Amino acid sequence: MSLKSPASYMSRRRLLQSLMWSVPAFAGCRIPEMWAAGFLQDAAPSGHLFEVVPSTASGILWRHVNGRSSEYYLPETTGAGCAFLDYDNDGWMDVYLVNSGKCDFYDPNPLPRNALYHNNRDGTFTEVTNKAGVAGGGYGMGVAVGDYNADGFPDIYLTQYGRSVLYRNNGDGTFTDVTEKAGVSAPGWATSAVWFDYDNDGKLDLFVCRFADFDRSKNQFCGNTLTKERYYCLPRVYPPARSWLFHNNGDGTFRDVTSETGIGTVLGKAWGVVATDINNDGWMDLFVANDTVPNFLFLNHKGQFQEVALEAGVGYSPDGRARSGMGVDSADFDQDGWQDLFVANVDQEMYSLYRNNRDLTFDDMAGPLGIGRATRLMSGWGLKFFDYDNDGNLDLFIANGHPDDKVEAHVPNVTYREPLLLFHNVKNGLENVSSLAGPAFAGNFAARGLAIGDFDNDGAVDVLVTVNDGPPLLLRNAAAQGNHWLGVRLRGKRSNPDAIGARISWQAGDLKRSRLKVGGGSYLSSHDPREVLGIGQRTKIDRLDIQWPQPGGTTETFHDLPVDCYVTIVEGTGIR
Amino acid sequence: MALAEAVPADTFTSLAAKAEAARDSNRLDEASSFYRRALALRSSWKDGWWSLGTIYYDRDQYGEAVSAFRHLLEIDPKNGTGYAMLGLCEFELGQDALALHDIQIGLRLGLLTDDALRKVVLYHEGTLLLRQARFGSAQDALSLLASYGVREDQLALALGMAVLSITPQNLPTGSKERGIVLWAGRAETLGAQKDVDQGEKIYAGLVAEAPVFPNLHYAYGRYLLLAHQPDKAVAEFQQEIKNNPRHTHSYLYIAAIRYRLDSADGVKYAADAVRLDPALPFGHYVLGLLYADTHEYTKAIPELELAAKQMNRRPDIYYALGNAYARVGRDQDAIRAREMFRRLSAETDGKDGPNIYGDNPPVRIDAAGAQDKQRVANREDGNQRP
Repeated sequence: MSLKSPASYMSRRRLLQSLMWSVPAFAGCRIPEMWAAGFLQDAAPSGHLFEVVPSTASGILWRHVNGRSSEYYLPETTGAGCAFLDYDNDGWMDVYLVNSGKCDFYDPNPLPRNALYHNNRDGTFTEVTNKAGVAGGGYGMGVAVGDYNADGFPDIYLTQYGRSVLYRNNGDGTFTDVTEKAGVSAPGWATSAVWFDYDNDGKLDLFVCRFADFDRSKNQFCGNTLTKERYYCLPRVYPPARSWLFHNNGDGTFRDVTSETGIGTVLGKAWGVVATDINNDGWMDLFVANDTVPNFLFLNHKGQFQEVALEAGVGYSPDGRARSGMGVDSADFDQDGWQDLFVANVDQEMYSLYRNNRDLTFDDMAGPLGIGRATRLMSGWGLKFFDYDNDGNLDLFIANGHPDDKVEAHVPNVTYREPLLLFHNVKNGLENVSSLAGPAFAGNFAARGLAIGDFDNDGAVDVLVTVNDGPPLLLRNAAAQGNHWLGVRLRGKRSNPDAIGARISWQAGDLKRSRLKVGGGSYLSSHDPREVLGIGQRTKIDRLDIQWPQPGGTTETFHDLPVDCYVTIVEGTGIR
Repeated sequence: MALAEAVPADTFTSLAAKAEAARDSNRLDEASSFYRRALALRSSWKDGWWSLGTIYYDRDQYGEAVSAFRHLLEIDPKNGTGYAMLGLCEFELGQDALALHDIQIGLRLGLLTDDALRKVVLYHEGTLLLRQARFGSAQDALSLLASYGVREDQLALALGMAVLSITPQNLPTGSKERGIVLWAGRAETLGAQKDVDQGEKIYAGLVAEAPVFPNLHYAYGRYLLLAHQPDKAVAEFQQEIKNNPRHTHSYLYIAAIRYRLDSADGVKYAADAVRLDPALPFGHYVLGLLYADTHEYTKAIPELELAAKQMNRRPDIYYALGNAYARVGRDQDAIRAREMFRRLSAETDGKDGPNIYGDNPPVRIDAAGAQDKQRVANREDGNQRP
C-alpha cells in the first residue's frame, strides 16, 4: 500500500537521515549535528583514534591488482591512487579507486578495473562504475579531481602508465571520456596530477607528473647477476622525463604549456605534487617529489615557473644527496602564516619536514621534531596534513611501504609492508601517536595512495589508504569526538571553481587559525574538497575570512557561525 | 723425430685441435707445447693465450702464466677474466700491488659467469687489501664473498681481521686472540648472509668475553649500524671510546648517527674527532654539517671549507657550503659553491659517494675506499638501493 509508513521499510537511522537531508539549511548548516550524533551511535567507542571499516561493512569489495610479473616491471610496485569526491553533489563523499589494466607489459583476462563507489549515506557504499563509465582500462596510477569546466560537478583526471584519461562529469551520474578533445592524454608514465590555476585566470589548469622514460622495451634487469634473482629496479637506471602543464582554454580544451612556462626546462622522475604558495604572493607554486633526482620547487612568477629547489634547500637531503621522494604535501603546520613542505622518501633517507623561513628558503625540521627518527627505516607514499582531532592544529598522516618486495631478504630491519604513521601536532612539534591510534596502526601494509575525506559527514576527517596488490583500507576517524568544527566548501565564481589557493582564516575565542587551500598533495590521490576547521572545545566561530584566489581576490568575512556542520560558501554570494 | 717431420704438415688448425684435445684429456705438458706452437703461427689467437695461461696457472708456473695472460690482454684489452687471472698469478709471485691493480681491473671489466673464479678473485682481492691495511675495502670484498654463501674459516678469519683492523702480518698468534678474530669474522659472515640476529649474538658474546679487545666494540657498533640499530651501535662506540679515548672513528660514528636526529649532541663528538685527528677531512665535514644543522653557520663554514680542500671532488660538501654561505649572506660564495655542486653532481651522476649514515663508514673515506665501495655495488647488481 502506498501510504505505508516509511518507518516500516526504512531503518530508523536512514529515515532520520532522509528527514534531515530534506530540511532547509539552518544558518548555512546542511547537516545538523544531531544526525551526526545518531550516526555515531552505530560505532561503539573503542578509544582508538581511527577505526578500520571492514569491507563487509562498507561494501567496498574492490581490490588492487598489480599484475606482478617475473620481469619486475617497475610500475607494478608503484600503484595506485584513490579519491574522495562527491561526484553527484549530494553532499556525501564517494570513493574512486584506481587499478592496473592493459598496457604493453600486462594484458590479463579479465582486466582489473577502477571502481567508483557511491556513498549510501549510512556508512556503506554501492559500486556504480559501469553506470558512471569510469572503469579506466589502462594501467592506472593516480587520480586528480577538479571541476575543470566550472559546471559544478567534479571531473576526474585518471593518470595511467601509457595514456591518461579525462572523464568529464555529465552531471547525471555518468562521465564521458573527453581526453582527446581536451588534449590531455599525457603519453608516457603519468603518476600524480593536480588541478590548480597557475595563471590566475579563474580556470583550473592541470599539472601531471611524469615518471621516468620507461616502457616495456626499456625494462632493465636489476638483481643478482649470479643468482639471477630479480627485484624492482631503483629508478636511477631509467632516464628522467619532463612533466606536463596543461593550460585550460575555457572551452573544454587545454594547451600544453610545459615548455613556455618553464616547467619543461628540467627533467625529473616525479611521483608526488602539491600546489601551494610558498611566498604568499598569490601565485600558486608547485612542489614536486622526484625519485633519485632532486625534487623540484617551481616558483610561480605570474605564470612563469622558475625551479628553485636547490637554493630553497628542498631539492636534496641536507648532505646534498638526491633522495627517493614520493609523497608530498604542503601546509602551514606551525601557523606562522607561511606554507611549509613535506616529502617522504625511502628507508635510510628519512622524510623531510621543511619549515618555511619566509625568504624562499626552508629548514628541514624532521630531526628536531621527531619525524626523522620515526621514519628512518620507512618508505612513505601517501600523506596529508589535516586536523584529525579538530583541535585547530594540523596533524600528519603517512602511509608507508617499501617499493621492493624482496627488501626483507637484503636489508635488516626494513620490511616490505610497513605501518601507518600518525603525528599529532602539539605545542612543541609533532608527536608520534601511532601506537595509540588503533589496530590499523599495528598492522603492516604495502600502502601507496592516501586520500582524506569525511565520508560520514561527522566532521571528523576520515582516511582512505590504497594498498598495492590488496584491498584498500578505510579508516573512520573516531578521534574528533567532543571537539567542535565547521566544514567549509568553497565555490569560486571569478576565482577557480574549486577555490584552490583560497586562504581561510577563522577565529573562535582565543583560537586564531589560517589555512591555505592547497591543490593535491599526497601520492596519486585526491581529497575531499571541503575544509574542516577545528576549534577544539569552543562552541562557536566568531569570525571567518575567506580570501579568494585571483582573479577574484576579494576577502569575505562572516561572523558568528554555527558549528558542527557543513556550509557552502560561494564567492560573492555568501553562505548557502 | 716423427713430431719434427710432422711440423711442416701441421697447420695452425691442426695444432690448435691437438692442443685442445691434449688439454681436454689432461695431458698438460703436451697441450702447452701444442699451444705454444700454434700461437707461434697465429699470435692473435685469444683462446690459445687464455688456455696456455690457465695451464701454466694450474701447474703453478706463474711467471709463464703472467706472460701468456699479458699476451692475451694485448689483443683483448677488455677481457676482465684475463686481468683477474693475471692478478692471481701476480699474487702468487708476491707482486701484491700489481696483483691488486689487475684484479680490480678485471672486476671492473667483468668476469665470466663462473662462480668459483669470482669467489677466488674476491678472496684474493680482500687479502691483498688487508695486506695494505685498507680494511674497509677489504671488508667490502670479503663481505661480498660471504654473501655468496661461503662459510669457511679462512674467509671468516680474513673478515675478522678486516673489521678489527688487523693486517695478516699482525694477526695475533695466541689462540684466544686469534679465536676472537675468527669469531668476529664468523659474525660478519652471518651478517653478510642475512642471518643478522645470529651474528649479533656472537658479537654480544664476544664483547662480554673480551671487553677490552681493541676495535671489538667498534666493529660490533658498525655491525649494529648496518643492522639499523643505531642506538645500540652508539653504546658500543661509546664503550670503544672508554677503552680507547683516542678512537677517532668511534667519535665520528656517533656524531654521524646524531646528525639530523640530535645534531646538538653530535657536535661534541665530531669536535672530539677533529681534535684527535685534525687531518681527517671527514671529521671536518661531519662537524660542519652538524654546526649547520644547529644553525651555527659561521662555525660550519670553516669546517666545510677545510673538508672541501681535502675532498674537493665531493659534491655534497659544496652543497652544504652553498647553504651555509647563503645563510650568512655570502651570496656570491653561495652561488659559486652551488655551481661547483651542480658540476660535480653531474660528473658523478648516479654514483653514490660515501655518506655518513653508515653505508660507508668514515674509516673507509679515502679515495680508494670510496671507489671500491662504488665498484662493489656496480659490479654486483648495478642497482642496489643504498
